[in-house]
Amino acid sequence: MYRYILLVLYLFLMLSCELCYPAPSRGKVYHLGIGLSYAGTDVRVLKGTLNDAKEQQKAFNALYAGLSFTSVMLLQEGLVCSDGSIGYDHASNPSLPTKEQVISSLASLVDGMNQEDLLVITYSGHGHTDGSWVLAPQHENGKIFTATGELDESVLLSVMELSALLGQARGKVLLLIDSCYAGAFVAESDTSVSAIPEESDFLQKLYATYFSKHERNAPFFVMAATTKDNTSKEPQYGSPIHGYFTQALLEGLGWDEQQQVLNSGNKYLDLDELYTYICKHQGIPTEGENPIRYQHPTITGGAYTLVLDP
Amino acid sequence: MIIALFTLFPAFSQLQGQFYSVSLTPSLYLSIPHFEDELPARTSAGFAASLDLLGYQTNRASASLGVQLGTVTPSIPFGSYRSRGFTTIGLQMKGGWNISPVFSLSSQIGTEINIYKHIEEVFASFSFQIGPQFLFMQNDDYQFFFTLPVSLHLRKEITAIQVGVGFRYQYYPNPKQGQHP
Repeated sequence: MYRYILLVLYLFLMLSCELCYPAPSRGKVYHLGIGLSYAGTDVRVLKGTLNDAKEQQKAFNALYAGLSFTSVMLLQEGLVCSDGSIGYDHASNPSLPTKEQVISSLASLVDGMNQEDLLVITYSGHGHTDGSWVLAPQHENGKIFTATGELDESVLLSVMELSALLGQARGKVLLLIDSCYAGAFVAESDTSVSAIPEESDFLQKLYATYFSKHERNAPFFVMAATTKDNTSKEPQYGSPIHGYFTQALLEGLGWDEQQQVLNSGNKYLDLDELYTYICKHQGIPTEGENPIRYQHPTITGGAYTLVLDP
Repeated sequence: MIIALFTLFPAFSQLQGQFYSVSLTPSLYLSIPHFEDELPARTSAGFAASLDLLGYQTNRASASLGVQLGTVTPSIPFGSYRSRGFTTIGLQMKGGWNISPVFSLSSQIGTEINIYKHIEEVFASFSFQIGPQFLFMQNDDYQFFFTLPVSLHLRKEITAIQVGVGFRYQYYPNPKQGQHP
């Protein structure tokens, strides 16, 4: 009741609540970086994913330098064998991003969060056609495909599994995914409709969404490199190589990789501003005829965006 | 009540007949979320321009149909969130009631399609508006009003109150001169 009386008073005085309320405390920031190069496995090696994960960790560390920042990195890098060939990592390595390790790390971080805390999760690796993350196998041979040529499903972390886990978080969660079909993680909004796929019954869907009875879910914000029906790409050459999406993301955050400093020119950096920056500056078009030649980043819809700048 | 008001304030409009009108209204836009938030309302700035193509004015009242274009900025950053800015396009039906030669009440209902500015997401909404209008300039074929509209913007997860100060230009292509009742 007190809240509504104050609101009426603010309206009457035409004051904004932002000027009258004390700023809330920002809490702690937790970071989980997951990167897989697939070196030593039987799937295509990705050149930019480890760079992506490592530089994002540094950028977020710099961005939240004034806050308590805890980071966990799970990297699959491969091993150089005695004969000079590249082998698979030791499966017992606690930093290897196996499905078990990723779930365990996430559960631990989610459990430790308070309402004012923020958890940033970055994933750079392969994505299966349903969006699932292709994580590191738990066996020493590093095989992701079985003897019959089937994909070993024990390495997949699905959208539902991850969503169920993150849905338990008390604080805010930001998921940044640079993998193929990553748009599968961007849940359809209960209040707005995506305009990226052109649909003939768009207007009908728009008003049906308005009158639908779905309740607003506790949000976790997702920004993904691409739509749920397209792949995410990285350039073949460069130094260092990053995925097109992550390269633009790092630039948008103000991260200068050469100097290893954060240029914080953007005072009120929110997730939408970062998304706009990526769409405009990534090194591959967002639209085109051939899906191999473009990728369109996607983001969680709804009325609010997340403020990144502390 | 309406009959009593008509009796107390005899209606009058010097210009009558078909009209076109343009309104421009900057406003304060307060988003009141239907869910738990760090603030009871988040503040943005709004601007609306409406164009009425089918309008008719009688001695006592006016009615019109038109389109509305508008924009709402992102809210002032506060805490962890910020409400998203959007651009709006909609259809509206407007009614006016002349209380005195210079003072009239205007009301409006409409529905809009809103496009968030930074992301490719679209949402539908409805709106209601009411407010006084003050005639401050006129000649044989146009009228200029000063308006103070208060709007309710009904979105699925937010109800917004919009308080504005604006101007309305009303042009009569074939004006008829009105008479005191």
